[in-house]
Amino acid sequence: MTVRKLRMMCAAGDETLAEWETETISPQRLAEIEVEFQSKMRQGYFAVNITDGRNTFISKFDSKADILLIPAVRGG
Amino acid sequence: MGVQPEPVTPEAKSKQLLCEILPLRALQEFLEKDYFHHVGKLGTYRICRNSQTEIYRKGRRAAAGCLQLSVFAPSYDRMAAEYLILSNNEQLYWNKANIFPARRAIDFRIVAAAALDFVLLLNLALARWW
Repeated sequence: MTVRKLRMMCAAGDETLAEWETETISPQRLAEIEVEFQSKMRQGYFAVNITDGRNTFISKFDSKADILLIPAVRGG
Repeated sequence: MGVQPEPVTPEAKSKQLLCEILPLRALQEFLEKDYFHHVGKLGTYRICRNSQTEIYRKGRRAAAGCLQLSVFAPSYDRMAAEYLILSNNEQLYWNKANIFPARRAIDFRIVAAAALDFVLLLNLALARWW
């Protein structure tokens, strides 16, 4: 059983927005998570596939990946 | 009554996340020194917790980069974000971060002024003696 997470950096360190078992999740729930993912992307978040140290940017939701959302960045 | 588990602080959570992300070599360096290096195409970056990222070129410190997350987050999250951006799209880092060129250790204008002062002093001394 593989469990994947959609996580987001925030004031609390990171927050798990969704967690699912890839084999058993319903298409409906998966669609809900994808909507949340896309909403964050529209807000300027970067999405990174952090599964097994891949650490690659992604632009589309991947239900088989552990995803980390990084807030928009700016010069300090 | 059972012992209450200690609450996990945001700082501890973000440190854990950074440790999950970093490759082994950088992780070891981070655990020892609280900073780590990332070697990119445009330079080598020393990503620190409490100071600006130092950018090295040809072994010399060439600049400092300052990047912030648009939301408040623990400093380890910023370190993780910098590492992930640099390892995926280094140019994006250069576009987004404020880059401050490093000052030269020796300012050549000061050296030139000092040399001129010395020549004038020598001139004065020679004029007095002869």
